[in-house]
Amino acid sequence: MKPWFSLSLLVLSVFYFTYGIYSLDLLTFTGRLGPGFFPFVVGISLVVLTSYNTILAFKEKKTVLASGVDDNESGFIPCSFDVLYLVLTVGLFILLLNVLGGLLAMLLFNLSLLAVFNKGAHLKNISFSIGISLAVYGLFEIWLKAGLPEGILGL
Amino acid sequence: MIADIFSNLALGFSVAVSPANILFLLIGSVVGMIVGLFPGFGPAAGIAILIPMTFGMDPTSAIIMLAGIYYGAMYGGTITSILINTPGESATVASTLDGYPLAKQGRAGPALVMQAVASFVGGTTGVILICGLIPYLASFAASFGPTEYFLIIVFGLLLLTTVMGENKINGIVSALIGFAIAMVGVDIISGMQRFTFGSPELIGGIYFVPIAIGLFGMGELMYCIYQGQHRLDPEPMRIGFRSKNFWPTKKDFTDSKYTFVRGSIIGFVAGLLPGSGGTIGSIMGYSVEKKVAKDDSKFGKGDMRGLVAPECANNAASSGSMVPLLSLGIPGSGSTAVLLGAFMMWGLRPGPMMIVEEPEFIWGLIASMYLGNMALILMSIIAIPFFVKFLDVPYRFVVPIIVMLCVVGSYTLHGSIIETWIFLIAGLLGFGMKLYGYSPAALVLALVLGSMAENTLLQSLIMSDGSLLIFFQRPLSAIMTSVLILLIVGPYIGRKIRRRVSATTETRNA
Amino acid sequence: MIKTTKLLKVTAATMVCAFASIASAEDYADYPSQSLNFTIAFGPGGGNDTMVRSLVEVIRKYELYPEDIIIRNREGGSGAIGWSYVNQQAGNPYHITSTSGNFIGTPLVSNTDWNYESFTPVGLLANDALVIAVAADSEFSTLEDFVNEAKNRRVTIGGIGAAGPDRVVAGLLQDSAGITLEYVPQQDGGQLLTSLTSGSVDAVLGGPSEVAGQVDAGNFRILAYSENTRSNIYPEIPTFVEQGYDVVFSLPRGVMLPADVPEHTQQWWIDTLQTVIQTPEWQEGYLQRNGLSGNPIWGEEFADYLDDTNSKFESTLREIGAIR
Repeated sequence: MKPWFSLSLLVLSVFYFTYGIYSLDLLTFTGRLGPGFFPFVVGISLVVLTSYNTILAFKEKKTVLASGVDDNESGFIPCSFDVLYLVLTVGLFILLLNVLGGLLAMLLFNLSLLAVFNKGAHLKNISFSIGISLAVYGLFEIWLKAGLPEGILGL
Repeated sequence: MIADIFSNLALGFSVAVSPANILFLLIGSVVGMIVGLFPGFGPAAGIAILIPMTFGMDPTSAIIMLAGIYYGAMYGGTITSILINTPGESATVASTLDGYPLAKQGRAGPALVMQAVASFVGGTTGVILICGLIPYLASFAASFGPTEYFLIIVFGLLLLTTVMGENKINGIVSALIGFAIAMVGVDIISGMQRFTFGSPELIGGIYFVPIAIGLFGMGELMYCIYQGQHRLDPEPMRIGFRSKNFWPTKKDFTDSKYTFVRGSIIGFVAGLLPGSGGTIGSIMGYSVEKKVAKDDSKFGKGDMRGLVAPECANNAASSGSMVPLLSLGIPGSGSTAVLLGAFMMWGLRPGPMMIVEEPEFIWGLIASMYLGNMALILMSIIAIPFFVKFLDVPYRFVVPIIVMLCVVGSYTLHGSIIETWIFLIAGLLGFGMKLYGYSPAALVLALVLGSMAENTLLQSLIMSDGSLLIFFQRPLSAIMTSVLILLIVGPYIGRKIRRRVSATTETRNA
Repeated sequence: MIKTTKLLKVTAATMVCAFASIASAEDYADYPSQSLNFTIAFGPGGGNDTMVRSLVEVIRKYELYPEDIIIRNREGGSGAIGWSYVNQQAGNPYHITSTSGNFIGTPLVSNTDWNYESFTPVGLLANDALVIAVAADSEFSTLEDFVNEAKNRRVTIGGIGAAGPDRVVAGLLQDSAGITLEYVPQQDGGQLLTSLTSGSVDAVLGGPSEVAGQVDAGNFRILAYSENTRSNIYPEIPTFVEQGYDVVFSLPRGVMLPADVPEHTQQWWIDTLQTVIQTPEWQEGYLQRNGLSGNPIWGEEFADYLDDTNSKFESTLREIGAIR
C-alpha cells in the first residue's frame, strides 16, 4: 500500500502545482512576489519530494517481493477490512446527517458499526447505541445548543 | 518586578477563581487525563475534539478548560506508558523506559504516584517560571514587526522539521502539505482568491480544526483499528490505595530529589524553544539524568529517577511552551498549535499586544494553571484505581464515541457539511501519514503558521521595496537572522572543522 | 390538505426557513406575526455581530418586535455565505441581515450570487469611519507633514486586508494629494498595531476604537478622520476634508431585508429602527462604546449611499488590480 499512498500524494501535488501555476500570477504587475509565488515554490517542492518518495517506495516493494520476505516483521495481521468498513460507515454517517438529522444518523452509525465490530451481542449493541447517541445529542444540542442538522423528523 | 508579579497574579486569581471557571478547569483537567489515557489520543486530539463544545462559553472559561485538557493530558498520558507500555503520545515515550519495568516489578502503585508528583513539580515549576518571563517578554514584544515575526516563524518551523520524525523527507513533505492547505482562500497581500475553485465555502480558507480533528482523532483511530485494538479484550487491572505497595518509599524521594529540579528546568527550557516541546524535553531530561547518575546500571530496568526526570520535563515543557504561545503567538508543538487556533477562534490573537491588552485573560490563564496543577495531583492520585478501570472498556466501544464526537464536532463548528467532509479526508490522510512515517503534527503546525510566514515575508518585502537587506537593517532582525544562519550553517562548519582537525592529527600521527 | 396547512403553521416557528417559499405569495398584512431570523454573515465577536446583538437587545428590551428573534451567525467567505443565504430568502420579510464593508467588497472580488443591489435597504444606522495614525515620536505632526514627506521619499502605510476599506482610504488620499503611498496589507488589528509600534511602517489606517488604546497610552497620534464632519465622539480629530484632501469614506453599518419584500414591511422596519436609535442604550451602549458616529439615513437614501460607496470601492480595487 505504501507505494500507492506515495503515488496519490504525488498526483495531488502535481494537480496542486499545475492548477496554481495556471490560475495565479507569479509576480504582481509592479514586479513583486505575487499570489502565485509561494504556491509555486510549495508545489514544485512537493512534486519533487513526493516523486522521490514514490520511486523509492516502488523500488522497496520490488526488492521485498524479489526476496520473498513478508514486510510484516512483527507478524500481526492488519485489520484492513475493519478500517475500510469504519471509513464507509463514517462517510454514510456524514451523508445522512442532513437527511435524517443528527440523532437518527448517530443511532444508525452506532448500530451499523457495532454490528460488525461487536458481532452477536445485539441487545448490548442496541442499548449502547441508543444510550450513547442520546448522550451526545443531549450534550451538543440541548446543553451546548450547537445546532445539529434537523433532518426530516426535526430531531 | 516581584511586586508586579504578585499584583498580576492577584489579578489572575481574581479572574480564575469563579465557580464557573473552576468547574470548567476541573472538567478540562479530567477530560485531559482521560484523553491522555487512550493510546493515540494526545492533548492535540483532545483539544481539537472538544473545541466545538466550548461554543457559547465565555472565552476565558473556554481557554481555561482547553488549557486544562492540554496539561491534564500530560498527567494521564503516562498512566498507560507505565501500565501497558503504550505511550499516549510522543511526549510520554521516555516514561515507558523505566515506568513499565517498575510496573512489571509490581511497583506500579509507587510509579503512578511518583509520576503524579513529578508531573506536579514539573508543571508548577513551569508556571512559576512563566510568571517571571512573560512580563519581561512583553516589554520588548511591541518592537516585533512583520520582519521579526517572519524570522521567529522560520525559527519555529526550522526547529520543527529538524526534530520531526526519523524520515526527514517525510517530515518536510508533511509540512509542505500544511503550507499547501494554508494557501487556500483569499490571499491577504494581493486580495486574490487561491485554490477556491469558485466555491464561496473556501474563500475564507480551509479551517484548521476539522483538519486537526481528522488527522489526530480519526487518523489515530483508524491506525488503532488497523492494528486490531478493537478485537482485544483488555485484561482487568487491580490497584487500590490499601495495597501495601501503593505509596512510594522514602528512598524513592531522596534518590530523586535533584532529579525533580533538573528535569523541570530542562523541560521548561525545551518548552520555550518553538518546535521542541515535551518530546524533546522528556528525552533530554532522561538522557541527562542517566549521564549525571553515579550508578546508571538500573536505568531502563526500573529506576525511579528514570521515570521522574522525563515526567518533570514533559510537564514543565507543557508550561514552558505557553511562553512563546502567549507572548509571541508561536506554538511550540502540535497541541499548542491547536490551542493557538482555538485562541484565534475566540478572537484572541496571542502575541505581543495580548499581554498589554488582555492582562486579565493572560494572568487568569496562568493562575488557572496553578490551580489546575494542584487539582490534578490530587485527582490523579485519587483517581488512579478509577482511571485504570477505563482501560477495561473494550476499544470497540470507544471507537463509536470518538467518531461521533469528531463528526458532530466538525459539523457544529460552522454548521458546514463541507467541513465535515474535509474532516473525513483529513482522517484518511492522517491514517496514511501515521502508517508510513509522516508527521501530522508538522502538517498542522505548517497549516497554522504557513499563511503567517508568507504574509510577514511579503509585508517585509513591500516595506523594503523588495530588498532582503531588511532582515539585517532592523537591529532586532539582524540579531535573529544571525542566530538563524548560525543554526543552519553551524553544524556543517562544525563538522568540517572537526574533520580537518582529525585529518591534521592523523597526518601528524602518521 | 387543510389539516396539513394547519400543522405547518404550528411548526412554523422552527421551520420558517424551510417553508419560506410556500409563504412567499402572501402579502404579510399582519406583519410582524412570526419569529424573525436575524442572519449575521460573520462569526461571533466581530463588528457585525456586536451591532446586531446590541440592536436586538434594544428591540427586546423595549418589546418592539412582538415575536421571537432568532440570531444566527452564518460565517465564511468574508460574508459570502451568510448574505447568499439571506439572498435566497427573497420575498420573505421574516429574514433580515446587517451590512459592513464586506457587503460591498466581497461581491466585487469574488463570484457571489448576490451584490448590494440584491437586497431591500432599510437604513444605515452608524458609520464606521477610519483614521490615519502615526507614531507619537515621528516627525509627522500634521497630515500635511505626512503628505510632504511622501513627495520626498517612499512612505509606507499599513491597513487591514488587501482590498478592504483601508485600501480604499489609502487610494483616495493618494489621488487627492497627488502622492504615492506604499500600502502594506496586515492580517488583523493586532498586527496592524505592532507594525506601527515596531516602526515597520510610517503610518496606519484603522478604526478610531482600534487605535484609541495606543493614542491614550501616548504612543500614537491621529492625523485625520475620514468623514465629512468631525466625529461627535472624537471631536478633537480634524477631518481629511478640512485639511484640504477629498477623502470621505466609512463602512456602512446598516440593516437590509431580502429582495422583493412588501413595501409596508420595509416601512415597518424603518419606523422601528428610528425608535431604536433614539434609545440611550443604542446611543451610549453601542455607538459611544464602539467609537462610531451615528448619522442615520433610510430607505432610498441608503441605497444611493451604497451606490456611492460601491463605486469608490470598485475604482480603487481596479487600480490595484484586485479586479479586472
